[in-house]
Amino acid sequence: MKRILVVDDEPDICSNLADILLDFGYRVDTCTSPEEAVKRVEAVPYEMALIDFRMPTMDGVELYRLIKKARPSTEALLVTAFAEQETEAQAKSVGFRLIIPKPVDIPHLLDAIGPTNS
Amino acid sequence: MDSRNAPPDHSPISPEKLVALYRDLQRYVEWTPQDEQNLVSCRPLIEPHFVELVDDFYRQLEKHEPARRVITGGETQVERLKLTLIDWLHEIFRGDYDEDFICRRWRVGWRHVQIGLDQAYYNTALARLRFGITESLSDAWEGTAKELGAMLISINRLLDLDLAIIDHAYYTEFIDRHERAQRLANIGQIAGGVAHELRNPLNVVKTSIYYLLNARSPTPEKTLEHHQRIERQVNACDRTISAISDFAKVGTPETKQIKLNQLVENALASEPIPDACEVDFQRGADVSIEGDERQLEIVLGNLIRNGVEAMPQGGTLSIVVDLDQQRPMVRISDQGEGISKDVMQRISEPLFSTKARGIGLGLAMVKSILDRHQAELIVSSQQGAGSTFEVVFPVEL
Repeated sequence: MKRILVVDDEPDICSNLADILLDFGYRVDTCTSPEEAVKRVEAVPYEMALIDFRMPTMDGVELYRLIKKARPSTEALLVTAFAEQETEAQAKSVGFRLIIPKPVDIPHLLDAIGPTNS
Repeated sequence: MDSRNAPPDHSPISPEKLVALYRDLQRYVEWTPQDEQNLVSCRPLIEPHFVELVDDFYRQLEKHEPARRVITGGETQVERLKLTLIDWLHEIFRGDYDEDFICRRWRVGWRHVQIGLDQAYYNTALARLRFGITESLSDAWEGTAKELGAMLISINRLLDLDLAIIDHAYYTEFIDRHERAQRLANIGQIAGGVAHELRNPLNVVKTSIYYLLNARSPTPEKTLEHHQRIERQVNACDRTISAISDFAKVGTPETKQIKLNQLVENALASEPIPDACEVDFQRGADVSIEGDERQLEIVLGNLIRNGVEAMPQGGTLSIVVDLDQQRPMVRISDQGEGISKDVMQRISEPLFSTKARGIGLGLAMVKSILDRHQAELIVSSQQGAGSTFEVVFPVEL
């Protein structure tokens, strides 16, 4: 079963994505801080991370860089409320599969995540 | 008046204002009916020289690249412009400086800005014309030197007024362009901040609704949770919109006597303090200030919230009410990371924020309210040790 890590500093968003993805049969963990997310990735082999861009201590691009260092096989989607061109370019260069705009369209997100079995 | 002579529609000045300005400038240079008469009486002497003055004007202009390049229509345009200039010379010696005349002059200035002629060239070109007029008149003059002097003073007065109106058009255009650029820049910044502050709660609302509509096995507890989240996030959207509209409508303070200690207590009561933080409030001298209670609560509320947010790992927020050389003041210090030099310079700029949350209106609003109270905001910070925000009110009378 595909394991997904959701990172967003808004707890309600973490809970919502967890509720939905669990309902669809994924295994989901959530973190509200990037630092915690890095520790999680070191401990658990997630196939995919859904990462918020704008967070208080570190942005999503920087976080994905650290995640890849800890576990290079982790794929990721960047979820953002406002993507400037610069952000998009950064996201691509660090290897995000896709940028998903907020508010998130769930069918689109599920497509991007792929089937529940890994 | 002839509508063709009105300043362009988008110009921020009305013909009435323009005339009022011109009349005021006339009073300034002590313009009298005698000046008008002088110009009219010079006319027969100077009129025969118009063509040569205008030819000289454009010959000189041709020699200067920055001035020449604004003429894009070649020889035909130059011929047309020469006629316009001759018309103007006729006008200035006609002695009828009415609304039409003033508005036409202003439009000439505006037109020069539009074609991109540097103001310095306009000024020097007019100076050359002025010398030419002076010379031609002096040569043709048959009266006394004193009389000639009086004539030249009148001509110079009129040309200076003309230049003032042209300068005004340049200035108006400059301000207009500057404001347009500023507005566009602000819209960009607002778009980013507002997008973030609204799309995050909307994201929760949208995904909760998705869950409520599509979840295959929702429990009653889960359903309730999602309803609560929707409500919470709709409120968050509302707060963001209120913050923007509050900022837009900070009005003139409705002042009354306020006890400073009480004001701090009220602000503290309405700001949630996280468990990790402790507030150390030292009530000071029992001083009162003149101010708008609601606005000043917003000020202290923002400063308290910023202090707390500067200490995500917890710490003590100390608040002191005191008198500083007779001036009542509130000092709020946090034990956060401090503020870097770069950030310090921009700290009260609207829409500037270093936070992941918020649109950056807090300190800008603080500053705007304090300005209206003639109060000062003094910020000091030490990197790694924390920041102090002091609100210092004017001396009590």
